[in-house]
Amino acid sequence: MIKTETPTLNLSNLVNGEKGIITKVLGHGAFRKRISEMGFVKGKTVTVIKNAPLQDPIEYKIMGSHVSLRRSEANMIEVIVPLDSVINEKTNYNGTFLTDSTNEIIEKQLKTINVALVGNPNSGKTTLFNFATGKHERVGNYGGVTVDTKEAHFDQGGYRLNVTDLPGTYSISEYSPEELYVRKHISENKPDIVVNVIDSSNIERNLFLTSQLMDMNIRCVVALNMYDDLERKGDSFNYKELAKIIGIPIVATVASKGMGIKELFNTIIDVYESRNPIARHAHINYGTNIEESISRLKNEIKKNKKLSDSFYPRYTAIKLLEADSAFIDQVASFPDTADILLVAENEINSLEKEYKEKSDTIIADAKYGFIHGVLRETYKHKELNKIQTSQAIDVIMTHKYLGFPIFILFLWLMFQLTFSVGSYPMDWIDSGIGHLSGLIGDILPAGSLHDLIVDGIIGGVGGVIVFLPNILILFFFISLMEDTGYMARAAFIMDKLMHKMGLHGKSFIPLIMGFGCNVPAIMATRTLEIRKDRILTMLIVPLMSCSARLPVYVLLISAFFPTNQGLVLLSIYMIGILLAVIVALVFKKIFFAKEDVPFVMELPPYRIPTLKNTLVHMWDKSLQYLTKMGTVILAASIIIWALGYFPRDIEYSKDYDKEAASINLNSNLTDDVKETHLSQLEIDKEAERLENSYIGQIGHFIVPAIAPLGFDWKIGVSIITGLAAKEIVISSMGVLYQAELSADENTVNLKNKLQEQVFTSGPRIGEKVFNPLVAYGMMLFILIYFPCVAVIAAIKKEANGNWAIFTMFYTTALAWLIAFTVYQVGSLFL
Amino acid sequence: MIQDILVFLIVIATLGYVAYSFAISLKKKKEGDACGGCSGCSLSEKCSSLTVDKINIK
Repeated sequence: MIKTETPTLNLSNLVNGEKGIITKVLGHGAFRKRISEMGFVKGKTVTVIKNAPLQDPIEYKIMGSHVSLRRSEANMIEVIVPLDSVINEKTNYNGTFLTDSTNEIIEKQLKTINVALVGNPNSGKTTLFNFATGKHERVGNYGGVTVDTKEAHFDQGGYRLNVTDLPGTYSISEYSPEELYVRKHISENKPDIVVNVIDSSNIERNLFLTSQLMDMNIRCVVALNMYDDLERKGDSFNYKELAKIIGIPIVATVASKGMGIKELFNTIIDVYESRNPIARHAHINYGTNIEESISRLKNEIKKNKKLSDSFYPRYTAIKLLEADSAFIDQVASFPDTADILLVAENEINSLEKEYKEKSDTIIADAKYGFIHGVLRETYKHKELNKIQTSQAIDVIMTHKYLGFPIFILFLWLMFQLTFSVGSYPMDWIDSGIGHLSGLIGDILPAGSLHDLIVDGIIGGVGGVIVFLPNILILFFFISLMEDTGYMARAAFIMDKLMHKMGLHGKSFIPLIMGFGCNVPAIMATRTLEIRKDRILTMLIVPLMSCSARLPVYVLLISAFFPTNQGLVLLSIYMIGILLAVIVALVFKKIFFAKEDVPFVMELPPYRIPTLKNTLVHMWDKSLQYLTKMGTVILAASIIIWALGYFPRDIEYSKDYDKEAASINLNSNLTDDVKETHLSQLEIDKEAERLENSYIGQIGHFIVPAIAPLGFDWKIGVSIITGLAAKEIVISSMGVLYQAELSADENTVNLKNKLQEQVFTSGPRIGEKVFNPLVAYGMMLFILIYFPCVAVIAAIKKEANGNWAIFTMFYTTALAWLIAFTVYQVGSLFL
Repeated sequence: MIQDILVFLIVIATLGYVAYSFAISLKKKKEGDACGGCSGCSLSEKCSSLTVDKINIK
C-alpha cells in the first residue's frame, strides 16, 4: 500500500538508490516524444542508480534498462516517492502495477495545469490574474507594475490551474532582463499552457510577442483583453478567423469586469487535453530567403540530439539568425555546436548582404509583415472623423506649456485634500484614542504598567494610527492617477525635464511607485534596460517620499503651518523630486558614463477607474498600516518607553519634594499660583528624570551632531528609531513628548505637545524647540535621510552591498547638509 | 509590584520578538533572500523564496 500523502518531486530531486513513480512529464514537442520513447511515461517506476561526479548527468533504471538523463531533463519529470516500496519488494515488478491511491495521485497530477501569463506591459495580465485567482496584486494603468512573478492556483472544471503572472514584455528577445527572464521561464519551466494577454486597443504591436511564441512551438491561448475598448471604438475584428490562421485559440476578455475569464480557462483546459479544434502548430512564413536559411540551419541543428531535444529546432534556427547573444551563449553551452554556430554565422552574413540590414531587423520586419497581413484579413478600423477621446484629453494634459502646471495642480489638490478631508476622521480617531487613554488611565492604578499602557503603547501607537485616514486619502488619489492612465502622462511630462538633465525618462516610473513604497520601486527598476540606469535610479528612489513619511509631515505641518498646508506638503515632495534629478545628474557624471536610451514608455488610453480596484488598493494599504502598528510600531514604542522609563533611581540636581513642600507651606501664595508652581516643578522633575534615563543618555550622545540643525535630543532619538521604519519617528516622539508633559485626558494630540516643547538643557534651555523653520528642516531630514532597512535590503539584492552602503551614507549626509542649510540660512531671516 | 513584574515580562517579550525578527532576517540573508518580510512593505507577502521566482539581473 502506498501512502497517498507523499509529495510530488522532480525526478532530479531523488537521491541515489531512491525510487519514484512518474506522475507527469512536463514539456512538449520533441523532448516529450523522445522521453516517452525511452519509457518515461505515467505510472512507471524509476530508480536512481548514480549521479555523475559533477552531479550531471544522472543514471536511472527504468523498465529494466539504464538510461542517462541530464539534470535539466530530469527536472521536467514529476514523480511521487512511495513511502514503503511494496511494489518492488513484494512483486519485483517495474511496470505499471498501481494501487488505487497511486492512480489517484497521478490523476490529480494530470489534472493540474501550469499556466503562464505573458503579454505586453499594461495589457491587463495582473488584472486577469487577480480576477481568476481572487488575489489582490497591484495593478495600474501603466506598464512595468509587475516586477516579480506571482503565483496562485484555483480550481475549474475539475482541474487545478496553477497560474503564474510574469512581468510585461514587448518581446522575448534580449533587450531587457525581463524579456530574458520571461523567455527563460517559458523554456525552462515549460508551463503546460502559455496565455498571451493582448491589449485590444493595440493589437498589431501586441501580436509581435505572439509571433515569437508561435516560433517557440508551445501551446498557447490568446486572451484578447479589454475587448470592450475595441467594441467602443466601433472597430470590427474577426478574431476567430485570426485564431484559425495562427493556430492559437483566441478568447475575448474584459478582465476588469471578469468577462470571458471562465471561457478563457475552459479553452485552456481544452487545449491542454488536445480537444480544441483550433490549436495547432502554425509556422510564420518569413519569405523565401529567410525560410531557406532557417531550413539549412534547422537541418544542422537536428543533427545535435541534445540541442534539438531542449529547444524546438525551427525556433533555435530563428533565434540564431536573429543573432540573439544570450541564446547563442545558451546554444554554445551544449556539446558539439560549433558547426551549428558556423552555419548560423554564414546564413546571417548571407541574409544581411542580401537585405542590407541587420539580421534581427530583417526577421522583425518579416514578423510585422505577417502581422500586417493577417490583420488586413481580419481587422476593420472604423473611419474616424474626430480625434479619439484619449488624444483629445492629451492635447491639454501633455501640452508643452500647460502639462507641467496641470501636473503640479493635481499634486497640490491631492495634498490639500489629504489635509482638509483627512482632518475630520483624524480628529475622530484622535478623540477616540484620547478617551481610551483616559478610560484605561482611570481603571489601572498608578504604576509602571499604567505608564507603559498610557504613555508607551497608547502614546506611541495611538500617535501614529491617527494618520491612517491621511494615508488612505493619498492612496486613493495615487490609485486614481494610476488607473486612469494619468501617471503615464506624468512620466511623459517629467521626461522632458529629466531628459534635459541627462536622466532616462523611463526612470520616472519607479520613482512614481516610490511615492507608495520605496521597496517595490527599487524592484521596478528592472524595467530599465541598462544596468547603469537601474543603479542610478535605485540610488535616487529613496528621495521619493514614501507613504510612511507622510504621518511625520502631516503632524509637523498641522502643528506649525496653519495656512497653505497643501502647498507646504507639495513643496516637500517637489524638493524630493528636484533633489532626485540633481543627485542623478551628479552621480551620472561621477560614476556612470553618459549613455542614453530612447524613452519607450507608451501612453495608454485613459480609462475610467474601477471602484473595486481603488477600494482594494486602499484596503490593502490599511491592512499593511495596521499590521505595522501591531508589530514594529508597538515593539518600538514599548522599547522606547522602557528606555525612557528606566532607571528609576535618578539622583536629581535638587530636592523637588522639599521644594514642593515649601510651596505648599508658603502662605503668601494663592492656591492658583501654588498649583502653577507645583505643576511646573513636576514637569521640571520629569524632564530631568527623562534626561538621565537610558534614552536620554543616548540622546545626549548624539546632540553635537544634530544641534547645528536646531534639533533637540528627542528629535535625534526619534530620527534614529526611524531607521527601522519611518512611522516610528512619530511613535517615538509620541512616547518621549507624552511622557514629559501631563496628558490631556481627551486627546493624545501630539501636535499641541510639540508646540509647547522647550529645551530642558544646553545653551538654549527654556527656548521653544520647534518653530516652522525647525519643523521644515526636520521634514526635509526625514525626506532625505537613510531609507528604511527594507529599502537598503532591496538595493543590496538588486544592485549589491556596496551600493546599499553607499545609499545609507550619501542620503544621511545629504539630509544633514540640507537641514543644516535650511536652519542656518533660515535663522538669518526669521 | 505586580505591575512591575508584568512590565518586565512585556519588555522581555518585546525584546525577544525583536531579536527573533532580527535573527530571521539574518537567516534569510544567509539563504540569499534579502526580504525581511517587513510588515509595512507591499511586497512582504509574496517576497518569500517559496513564492517569488526572482529575476536574476546580471
